[in-house]
Amino acid sequence: MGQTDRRNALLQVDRLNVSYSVGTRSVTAVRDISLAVRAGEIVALLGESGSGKSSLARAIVGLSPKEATVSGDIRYGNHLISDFDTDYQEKLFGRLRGRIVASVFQDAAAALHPLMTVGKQMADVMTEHFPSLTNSEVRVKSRHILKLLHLPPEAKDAYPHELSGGQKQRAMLAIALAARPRLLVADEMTSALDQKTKNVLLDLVNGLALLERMGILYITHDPKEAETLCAGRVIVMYAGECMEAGSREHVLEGTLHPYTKRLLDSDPAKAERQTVITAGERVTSPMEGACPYYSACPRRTSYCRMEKPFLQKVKEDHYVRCHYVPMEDD
Amino acid sequence: MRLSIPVVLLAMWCFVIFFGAHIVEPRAGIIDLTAINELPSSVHLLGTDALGRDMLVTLLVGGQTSLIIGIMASLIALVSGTTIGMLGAYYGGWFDTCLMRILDTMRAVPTLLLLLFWQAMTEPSFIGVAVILGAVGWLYTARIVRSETHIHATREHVLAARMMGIGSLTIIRRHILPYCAGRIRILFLLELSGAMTMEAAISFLGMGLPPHMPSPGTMLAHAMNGVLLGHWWQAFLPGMMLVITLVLVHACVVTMKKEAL
Repeated sequence: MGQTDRRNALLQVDRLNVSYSVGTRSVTAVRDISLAVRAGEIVALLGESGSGKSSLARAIVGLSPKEATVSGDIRYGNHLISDFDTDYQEKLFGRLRGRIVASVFQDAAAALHPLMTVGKQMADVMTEHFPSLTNSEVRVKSRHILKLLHLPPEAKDAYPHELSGGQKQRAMLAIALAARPRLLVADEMTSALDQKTKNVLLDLVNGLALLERMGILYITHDPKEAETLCAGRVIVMYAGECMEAGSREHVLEGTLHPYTKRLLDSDPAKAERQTVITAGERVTSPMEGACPYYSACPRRTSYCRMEKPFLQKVKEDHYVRCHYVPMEDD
Repeated sequence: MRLSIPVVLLAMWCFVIFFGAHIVEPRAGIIDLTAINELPSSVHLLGTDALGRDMLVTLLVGGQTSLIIGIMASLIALVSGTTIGMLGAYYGGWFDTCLMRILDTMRAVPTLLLLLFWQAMTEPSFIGVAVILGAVGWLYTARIVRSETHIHATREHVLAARMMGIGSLTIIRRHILPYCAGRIRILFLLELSGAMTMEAAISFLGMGLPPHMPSPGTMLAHAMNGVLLGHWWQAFLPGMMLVITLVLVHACVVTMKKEAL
């Protein structure tokens, strides 16, 4: 990614680390992750459960749990957040959330306030960020957002329990979009939905990026979703580290990292060469100094245990963390 | 809230007291030395006290006073206790720690001692008693609301609301308060009964309401000599007044608890 791109980024994360400490034990959930999201761009973050995706998502919006220690740089446009756990950054995040960045979580049923109608929850977000809005302006804006998300206008007066699973997720999205944020962090947004509803939502997300020029960080465990989305870039995480990153074509079609290959092959639709990622492979606390994927890698050698590979540039817009990748001569 | 039998009875009881007190108000405190310590008769339906005052009139006016003080005190206790408990639990940190240590310190001192101490330093008055009873009552409320807030503050939709940049006070008002409402309603009744009992206790000890203001407490204090002389109704009636009110309040609490669980 060139320097000009970085300057235009809505969100830029540099060497972010998240670790949890309970008592004397400490676990690193996210290690040295860097990424950038530009306006109108979808970045897909791919990784299985426990790879640190959600920790990353929470850290990006400043809602890490109390036990977490976050370090690194997060830059929203001109706002730089590098010193976490201070009142200042908490206030800054408070101003950014909703207005600049919004996020949607997996469980919409729990994330919606069960005692308030969808319209009221949208209105709350709007008036919080634009206190001067009149009631009729709020109504017009809510109707517009509901239409954008293909929700019936009656959804405004519905309580969450009256909506179906897919509608709930879209209602959640409607509330997230109420203050017109420029960046959306979607964390496993479609995991609880069936295939058809999933596709509708993915289309909506595509539309938000293409038509509304929103930047979207789409976090998922499903490689197929990353393929369906018009994701510009794909980042593959394993054990809290970035294993492979780059443009969609490079990562999903010209896959180089053995872990990404296994992740793509575990798709049930490609049954003829399906491999199952067994529980034993999900090592989330790797050996110190070894490749994080060492214990499960089919291509490992003793060198992989002694020397941890760097995230190296293989070609333009394609980065891989593995010792055994063909390097392009340049 | 469903209209269960205890709630209806309590409402009727309160209506009788307030309406009756309103009617007999002009006759309150009239001393008739020609008719002291009289048994119930057609003139004085519930008899008279040692100063010849009509017991029915005094009872109604006293019951009203006791209810109003109870309601005022429990409202004060609820508003301050809920605010302090919620803010403490939601913000946490040194703010919460300070509040809870103040609370612990106040709880360590016996309530009656605290009340008598404060009353001794101030002029006895109607408002004063209500405020002081409220100031003692919030301790309990704050504790319970605080623990309740801790439970609801970690709900997913609270996190989602924070995510959308909704301010802390709005979150407390819209996302946490509705969940505590059931508990707070029960607490209101418990505070009410507590405040009424306490008011009667300090008035009986002569440190609550001024003696000319009728309340079950002051009536019992007046009846102390009468009881020894065999004028049992002078102590029995205000005692029953208090007991009936408190039993009805607690019956409401029991039905509300069943509703809530």
